[in-house]
Parts: sequence; structure tokens; C-alpha cells
Amino acid sequence: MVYPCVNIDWWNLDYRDLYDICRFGSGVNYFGTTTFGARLLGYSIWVNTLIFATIAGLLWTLIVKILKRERKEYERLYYWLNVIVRYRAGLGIIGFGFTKLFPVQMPYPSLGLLDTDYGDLTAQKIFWLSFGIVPWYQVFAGVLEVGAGALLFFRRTVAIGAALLVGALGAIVVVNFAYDGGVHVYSSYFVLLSLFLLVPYYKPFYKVFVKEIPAQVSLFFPVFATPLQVVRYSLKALTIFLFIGVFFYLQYLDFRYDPYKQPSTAGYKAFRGNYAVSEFKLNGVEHPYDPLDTVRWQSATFEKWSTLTFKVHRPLPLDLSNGGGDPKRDVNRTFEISGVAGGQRAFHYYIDTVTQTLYLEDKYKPIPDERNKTADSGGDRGVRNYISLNDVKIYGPTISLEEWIPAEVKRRLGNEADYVHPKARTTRRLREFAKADELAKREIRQRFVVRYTIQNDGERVILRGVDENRDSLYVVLDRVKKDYKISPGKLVAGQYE
Amino acid sequence: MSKKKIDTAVINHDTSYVDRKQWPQWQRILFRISFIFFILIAIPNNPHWYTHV
Repeated sequence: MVYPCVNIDWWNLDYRDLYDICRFGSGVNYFGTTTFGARLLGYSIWVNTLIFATIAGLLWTLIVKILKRERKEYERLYYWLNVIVRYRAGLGIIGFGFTKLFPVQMPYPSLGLLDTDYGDLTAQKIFWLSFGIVPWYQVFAGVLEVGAGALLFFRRTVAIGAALLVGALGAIVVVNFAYDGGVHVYSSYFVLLSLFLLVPYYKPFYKVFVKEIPAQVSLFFPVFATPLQVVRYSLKALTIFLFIGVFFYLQYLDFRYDPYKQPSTAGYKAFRGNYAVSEFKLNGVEHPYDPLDTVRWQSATFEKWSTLTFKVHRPLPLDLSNGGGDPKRDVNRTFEISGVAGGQRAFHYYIDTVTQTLYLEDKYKPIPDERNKTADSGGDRGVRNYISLNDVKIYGPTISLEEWIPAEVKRRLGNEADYVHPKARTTRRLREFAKADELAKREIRQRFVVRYTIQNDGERVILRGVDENRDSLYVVLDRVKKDYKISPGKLVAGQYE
Repeated sequence: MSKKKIDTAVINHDTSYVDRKQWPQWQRILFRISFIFFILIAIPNNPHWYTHV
């Protein structure tokens, strides 16, 4: 037996708790995700649902005819169907809009991303980043989406809300097709629901805007007895309070302390910046500067959060997701590698300042986590939507999880769940970290360990250790100043000081 | 000169069933299909939604 909403801790909410209520796809999926074998670009669930609804609708007609129970009209049922569709579309787009209103959906590019050649980014990544470098534009899109969603909560503003949604989300559908964004089905969903909500308005719109003659919209509103009216207003007020008021605050906390696509743990301050690789030795053999060397690190960055990136001159498997989803562990937040080629690698690190050691783990893993579990069909379940596990070549890590970090160091590192600001320590985060060790055992990802030495106030960082293949590694990194022509401005997500 | 307010929407409040306008047959069939279709895609059918949420 399942009970709705029992898993959510309403006294310590995470923005994602409300987002997950808003974010789902549905439809007839008992016949799989194809229509007669065709995926129809992901729209097959709509087509299957339509086929099912057509058969059921015709049967319904036949039955009422046989029973001689034919109605004159369905005004009241149509009204309630509109209510369901209005709230479904309104809540869904508010959930989407808030991640733009506080700009976290398209993050500002990290140092590693800025160190990647333009031609090594997928089209999807380029679009996401071109949004990410102009956070105010993202805020505008968020205001538009949340505003359109809120207008759907009121019967008299449905037309304007739905028309806005058709325009705004229609553009997003085309963007997803043009840039291969992967969220075309879910964005089309809002267009479809809005087009349905506009049904009573098509004729009057045609009369006013095309024929330029006066027109009136004919709407049916049921009359409620006073107790029902109280229930109705209370439910509406609760929805607005929760999904606009509380959601606004939760999304603010996410933006401020735990932006969902970026790692939330601050990186070690002395490291942060871009580095040139001055010396590189593998098993004691020096690899002098050569841009075509397939082993040597070509350049490196330490982000303001706990990530080391370095570039190698060899092809690597790509993470083709959009880096989204709901992971709380920093290592699973993969916006830094999703859609990024050019040999750019990103490793999450734990730092033990007592022994001056970095414990690094690859952000890329061949079998990615299933994301957006509640979204289901029509939603975007991340990489699992297109990856076939049989095709994944799996090379187990040379350094096992147990060998990687000694127990004593683990104790010193403390609980990662507490690395963020107390306001971001939501029940959802604590629950995920409580299961993190168990989940980590099942993950396949590369790991390595290096000791670090910082010289000249961080102008030089020397790394010595054993790499992911158990080869001895010696790298001298010298800081370089990159004078980029873009800057993040004042709307910066996360707290890394 | 006083301005007369022209309402652009005709709100048909609950009239008795007998007074309501008859829908043509095609509209009733289309409604039944739309009703089933939109209910199916607008209400979560995924058990994860109920347990996870």
C-alpha cells in the first residue's frame, strides 16, 4: 500500500521535494515505449494513450447508446477536466520555472568548461552555457514560466497563462530539437495542455484578431454551496502558499547554498585556479610538453568547489546527459563533464589537510545513476533513457573503495552531508548520504590518491601519488592567469567561501 | 458620459440540466476521448511518484 506524500519531511523541506511533486510524465505505458515498434522520437506514449483513449471513448459512446443513457452535454465534467489540466500544467511549469528564476538550471561555466575548446562541446552544452553566462536572461525566463503557471490557477486568467505557455514552451520544444537537448517531450507536454485549455477561446480569438468583430467567450462555472466554496478557496490558498511562497524560499536556499547542478562543497582555497602542466612524470619517465602526447596532462584546473579537472589528448567516452537530475553527492553532479569532449576529465576530491592528501574519484562512470525517478514516462530520466547497459564496456577500478581512503582518514573527513550550510542540510540530503556508502560500493568509477605540496603561495602545486592505473604520478602545476571576456556578474550560485 | 462595461466572457453559472444547450454528437464523442486522454496524461501513474514523493 502506498500513501501519497508520506516520504516528504514537511518540516525540513528540500526544493526537490516540491519539484518532484510537479515533475512527472504519465500516460498509457503498459504497451512499452514504442508504437508498433517505433519510438516516435519519444512521443509514442502520447500516441499509445491517444489510441487507448479513442477506443475507450468510442466504447463509452456505444455503452451509453445501448443503455439509452445519452447525455445532452458534459459541461460540468469539462469544467473539472479543465481544473485538473490547469493545475497539472500550472504546477509543472512553476517547478521548472523556479530553477531558472533563481538561475541554477543552466550554471555559469566552471573553469574546466572554460578551458574546453568550443568545438569539443555538444550543441546541447553550448546552448545551456550560452544561457548560463547571462543569468539575468535565465531569471527572465523563470519569471515568465512561474508567472504563466500562476495565471493558470485563476479561471479568468487561463487564456493569458495558456497563451504565454504555448509561446514560451513552444520555443523550448524547438530549442530541444535544434540543439538535441533531450527534453522535447516534456516541454511539448505543456504546449499540448495549454492548447487544450485554449479550446473555448479559439473561435472568439479568430473573430477578434482575424475578422475584427466583437466576440464573447462562453464559459461554464458551477455554483458551489458555501461549505464547498470554503474548501475550494482553502485548497487554492494552500496550493499558492506551498508552490509559490514556500517553493520560492526553498529555491532561494538551493541557489544560495546548494545549486543542484554544481557541487556544493567548497574547494581548497589555496588551489583554486587554472594551471599549466610544467612537468609530468609517469612511472619516473618524463613526458615533456607535447600537445599530442596521449598520457600527459595538457592543462589542469582546481574549481572553487571540490573538483580537479585535467585535459588529456585522447578520446574518452562522453556523458550525454544534460547534467541535471537530483543527486546530492558532489561526485554525482556531472554538469562539468556532460556534453564535454576534448579529453576533459573531472575528478571530485576529498582533502585531508593533515597528511596533505587528495582522494580523487572520476565524475564519469560507465553506468550512470537513474535520475528523476518520480518523473517516469514522458519525463526525463537522464542517461538511462538512451543507454543500453549491454553496450557499456566496463573496466573495474584498479583501486577499490576500501583501499582508496583509510578508515582513519575517513573519520577525519567527517560526514559529507554536513559540508554545506546548515540551511541546506535537508532531510532529503541527510537520507541520501545515509545510503551513500552502500550505493558507492555498487558504483564503477576510477579513483586515485596524490599527496600535494603548495609552493610560492599557491603559484605552484606539486602532486605525487599513484594514478588510476596504479602508475606512479608526478605532476608540477604552475598557476596561469586566464583573462576571460565573460564574467559571472552578481548573480552567483552557491557558497564557496 | 458614463462608460458601459462590456464583459468579454459569458459565464454560464450552473443552470438546471434541462436548460443547458445540447452538444452535437461529434462534440460529445470528442469530449469522451479527450477526457480519457487528458486524465491519463495529467495524473501520475507511476508508483514511484506516490512512494518517492
